[in-house]
Amino acid sequence: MRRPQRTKPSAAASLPRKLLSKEGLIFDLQRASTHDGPGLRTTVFCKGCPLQCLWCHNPESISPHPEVLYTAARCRGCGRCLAVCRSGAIGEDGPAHRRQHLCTACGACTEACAGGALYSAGRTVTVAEILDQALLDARFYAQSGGGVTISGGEPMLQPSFTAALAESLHRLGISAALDTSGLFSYAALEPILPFLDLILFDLKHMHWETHQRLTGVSNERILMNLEELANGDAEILIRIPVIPGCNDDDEHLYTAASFLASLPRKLTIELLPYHGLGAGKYRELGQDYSMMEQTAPDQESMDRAAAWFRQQDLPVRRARA
Amino acid sequence: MSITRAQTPYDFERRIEALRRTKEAQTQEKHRVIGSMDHDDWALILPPEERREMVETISGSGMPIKDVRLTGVTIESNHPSGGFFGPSITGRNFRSLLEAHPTYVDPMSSLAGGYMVNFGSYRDVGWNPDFNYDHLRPDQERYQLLPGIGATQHFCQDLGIGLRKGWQGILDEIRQYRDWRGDTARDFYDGLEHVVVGIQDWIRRTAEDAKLQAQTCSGAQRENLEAMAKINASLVTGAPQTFREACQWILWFQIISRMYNGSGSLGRLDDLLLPFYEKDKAQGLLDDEEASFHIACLLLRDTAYLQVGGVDPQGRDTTNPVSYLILEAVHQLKIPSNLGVSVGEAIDPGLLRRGAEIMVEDRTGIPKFLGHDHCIEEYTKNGHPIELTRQRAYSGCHWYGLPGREYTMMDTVKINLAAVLDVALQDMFENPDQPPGMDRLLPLYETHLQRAVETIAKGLDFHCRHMQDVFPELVMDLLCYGPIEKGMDASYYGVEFYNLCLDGAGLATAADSLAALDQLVETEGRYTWQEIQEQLANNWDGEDGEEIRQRMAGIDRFGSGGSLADGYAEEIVRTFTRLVKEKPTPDGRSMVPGLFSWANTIPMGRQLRATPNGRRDGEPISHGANPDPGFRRDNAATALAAAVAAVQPGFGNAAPLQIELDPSQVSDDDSVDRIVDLINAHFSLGGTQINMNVVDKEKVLEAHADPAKHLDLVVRVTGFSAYFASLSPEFRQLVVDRIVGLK
Repeated sequence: MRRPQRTKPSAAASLPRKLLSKEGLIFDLQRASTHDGPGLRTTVFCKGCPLQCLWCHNPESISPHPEVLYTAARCRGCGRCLAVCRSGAIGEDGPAHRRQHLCTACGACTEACAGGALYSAGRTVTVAEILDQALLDARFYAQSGGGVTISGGEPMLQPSFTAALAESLHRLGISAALDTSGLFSYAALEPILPFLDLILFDLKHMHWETHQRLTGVSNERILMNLEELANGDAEILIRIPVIPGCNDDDEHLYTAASFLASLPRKLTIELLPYHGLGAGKYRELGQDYSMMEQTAPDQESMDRAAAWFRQQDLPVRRARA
Repeated sequence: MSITRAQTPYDFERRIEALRRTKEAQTQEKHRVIGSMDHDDWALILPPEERREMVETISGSGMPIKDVRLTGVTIESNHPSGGFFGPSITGRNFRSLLEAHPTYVDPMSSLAGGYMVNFGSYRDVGWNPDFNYDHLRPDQERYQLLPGIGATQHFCQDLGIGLRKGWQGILDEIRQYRDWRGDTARDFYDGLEHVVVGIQDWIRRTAEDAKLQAQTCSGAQRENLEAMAKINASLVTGAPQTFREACQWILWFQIISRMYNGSGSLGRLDDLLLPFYEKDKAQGLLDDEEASFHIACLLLRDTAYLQVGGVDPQGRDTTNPVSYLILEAVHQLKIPSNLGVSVGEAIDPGLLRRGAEIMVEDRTGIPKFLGHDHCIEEYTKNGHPIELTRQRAYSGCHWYGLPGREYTMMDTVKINLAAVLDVALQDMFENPDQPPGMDRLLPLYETHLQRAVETIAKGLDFHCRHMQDVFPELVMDLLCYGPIEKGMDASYYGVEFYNLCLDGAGLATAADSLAALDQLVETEGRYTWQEIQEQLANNWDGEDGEEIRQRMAGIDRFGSGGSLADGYAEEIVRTFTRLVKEKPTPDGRSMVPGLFSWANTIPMGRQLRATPNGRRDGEPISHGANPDPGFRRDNAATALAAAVAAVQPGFGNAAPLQIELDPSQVSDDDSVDRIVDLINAHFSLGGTQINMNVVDKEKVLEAHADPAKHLDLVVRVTGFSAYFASLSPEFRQLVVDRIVGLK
C-alpha cells in the first residue's frame, strides 16, 4: 500500500499557460448543478456584481472583495477568532456581533476556526484550478449534454478571467455557458462569444425606475445588450425571476413579453420562482435581508406568467413553482 | 391478524387498496408488539394473539432481534446444549412448525399464504459448540470481523426448477436418490423429505381453508376463493400451469424459504413468468391488468429481491412485457420493495426511464438501479465464461447469484476497514522501536489487512465444512442443481460453484483517517503522532481535543474529488481487492470482494474507538462505499457518483452508490432525464448498483421526531427498503444524516 500521488497530470495540461494561469475571484464552485443550463453542470460563481437585487440569494456574490461569513450553528465559543483578530472586527462579544465594516478579510479568524463557523467567501483561483475541478465531471457532461456555467455575481466584471476560462473549456470540448445580469460592456463580451455555447441572460424588470429601485441600477444598458445579442446568433436563454408584488403584475409581464417578441429572434424563456433560501446568508454576513416577508409564487401565478409569454409565441422552457 | 374486508366493488384497484391497508395495519401491529425492526420489511404477519411468545433471537441476516414465536410447536433437541443440529432433526422440526402453522387466506388477494414466524427463532443455540473455532477467535475479535460462520442463505435458488417439477416432482426425486444412495446421506434426504411433506400439508390445509371461506361469500369474492382453493389443491403436488398458478407456486416457496431462514429471492421474475404469461394470453385467459394484479399480490406477501430486464447467455436483451408489468405493480403498491431495474448497453433503456419516473413520482426509494454490464463482465475475472455470468440474477441487498448453481454467502462476511486500520495504528504506537509515520503505518495496515483476510478465509472453510451438520439449507437445496443428486447441502459441496463474498466496510472512515494523518501530522506537522495517539485513546477528550478533532475532520474528504482522501480510498480498495483475490481459501474456494456494510454501520461503530477522521468512540462507521455525509459543501450528486465509481473492486460484486435527492432537485420537467443521465454516467464510470431516495427533507425530519406522522413513508435504508416508522431511532438517524447532509 502506497501513499497516493499528490498531483496527477491534468487533462488540461496541453492548454496554453496564458490561459491556465489567468486568475479570477470566485466565491463558490458547485458540481451537479441542474438549474444553470442544460444537463448536469458545474457552476463557477464569480465574485462581484454591479447589481444589488433585493432578492439576491447569494449576497456574498455582490462585493468584489473577499468577505468573512459566520455560521452560529457551528460555533463552539472557543474564542480563538477573537485572539487573532487584528482589525477589531471581532470583539469580546464574539463573532456573532462582529463589526463587518472593520473586517479586512485577512483570513486569520477563518484559519483559527477549526469548526468552520467562520469561513471566507472569495478566493483567487486560476483557470487551471477551475478546470481540475470541472473535468472531474466530464463524463456527466457528455452523458447529459451538460458542461460548465460561468456565473456569479457577474462574470463580466472579470472579463479576462471569463474569457480565458471560456476559451479553455471550448478547446477541451466542454460546453460553456455564461450566466449574466446583462450589465456589461458589449465590447468586452464580443471576443468571448465564439467560445460560448449558451448565454443565460437575466431580465429583472422592464421599467428603469422600478429596475433601479429593485436592483440598484438602471436597465438601459441591459436592454441594449440584449438587443445587440439578439441581432447575432448566440444561443440565448432569457431568465426571468418571478417575484410576487415586484414584477409579476400583468402590465409588467405584458411589457416584457412584448419587448422579447419584438426582438429579431424568438428567444426561449425560463421563469424562476422567487425563493427565500438565501436569507440565512445575510445573517452570516451580518446584514439584514429586506425581503423577509416576501412570498414565493404558487403554480397558478407561474402559469399565469408563462401564459403572457406564450401568447406572444415565445417558448417558455420552465415555469415550475 | 387484521384483514380488510371488501366494502366496495371487488375490482383490482380497490382490492389492491384494501391489501395495502391490511399490510400497513399488520406493520403497525408488528411495530407495537416487536418494537423497531432494523431490517428488510418482511411480509411476516403476527400470529394470533393467543399463540404469541416473545423471544430474543438472531435474524436470518445474523443480527440480534426481538421476535415473536408461534406457540404449540414441538421442537426436538439432539444436543446437550438444548439445540438441534443436522439435516434430519432440522427437517423434522421445520415440518412440525409447518404442520402447526395457521393458514392465511385474504379474500382480497388472488394468492393464498402468509407466514407468521421465523424458524430461526426456535434455534436457541445457533452454532453446534462441538465444532470449535477457538483457534480463529483471537484474530476475529482483534480485527472485529464478521466471519460468516453459521451464516445462512444469501445465495440464489432457481425457481424454475420448482415451476417445472412441482412439489411432488421434487419429493419423488428426493426419494429416488435416497433409495439409490442407500444409507449414504440418508440423514440429509430425510431432512429434505420432512420439509417437502410439511410444505404440502400446509398448502393442502390452506386450500381447504379457502374452500371453507368461499362458502361464506358470494359473487366475485366467492369465485376468487373457489379458484384459490382449486389452485392450491392442485399445487400440493402438481406443477403450475397458468400465470396465476405460477405466482402462487413462487409465493409458497418464498414464504417457506423466508420462514426457514430468511432466504429466497425472486431473481429474474420477468423471465420466469414469461412463458406462463404468453401461454395464458394466447389462450385469452389473461390480460395485463389481471397479470399485474397477480404480481402485486405476490409482491405484497413477499419483499424479496428481484430484477427486471437483463440479458440471455448470448448477451441479448431479455426485457419483456412482464418486466413492465412488474414495474407497474410496484408503482401501484407503493410499499417496501426490493426491485432492481437492470441498466446496460443491450438492455431496453425504457426500463431505466420508467424506473426513474417511478422513483421521482412515488418517492419510496424504489426501484434500485443495477449496473448490469459491470456485474456481468467483471464476474468473468473469477474464472467463469461470460455465457455463465450473464445468467446471474439480482437476489439480495447488493448482490447477484447464479440461480441454483452457486453458493456465495453474500452480505454475511465483512471486514471493517477502519477497525483494521485501528489495529495497525495501535501496533505502530505500541512498538516504538522506530518513529511513527506513514511509511510505517501503511505497510502495517496492509499486513493486518492480509491477516484479516486470511482469518476470514479460514473461517469460510470452517463454515463450509460444518454448516451441513449445523443448520443446512434444506429449503434452498430443493431448488438447486446438485444437492438432491449428490446428497450434499449447498453449503458443503452440493452445488457447482463456490464464490464467497467478502465485503469491506467503513471505507470513508479509513480513507479520511489516513488522509488526515498524512496531511496534518506527517506533511504539515500541525500535530504530532503522540498527540493523535493520546486523543484517540481518550476519545478526543484531551487538551484541545475538540479543536484537533474538528481539524482532522475538516480536511478535504473522500468524495470531494481529486483529494488526498480520494487517493487513499482508491488505494485501500486496490489493496483490499488484491489481498482477497491473490489466493483462494485453504480449501480452494474463491473469494470475491465487494464494499457494503448493510445494516452494520451502527454495531460495527459501537465496537470501534475514535478514529483519526474525527469520528468519536462508538459512533457509526461510514456507509458502504459512500463518502461520509457532508463530504462537500454542495453534496454534489456527480461528486458522490464519481467517487463511488472510482472505488469499485472490479470483480463483479457490487459496491453500491447510496444517494439521496431532495424533491426540489427533481422538480423540473427534465428531472427524470437528469436522473437517467446520472445513473448512466455512474455505470459508465464503473458503478455496479445505485440505491436512491427521493425524499423530502422536512418530511423525514418530521417523521424522525414523530414516526406516527408519516406511517406510510417508505425509504431505501441501505440495500433494503422499509417503512421509516418501523426503524429504530438510531437507524432513522443514519438515514436523516444522509439526507440532511450533516454528521
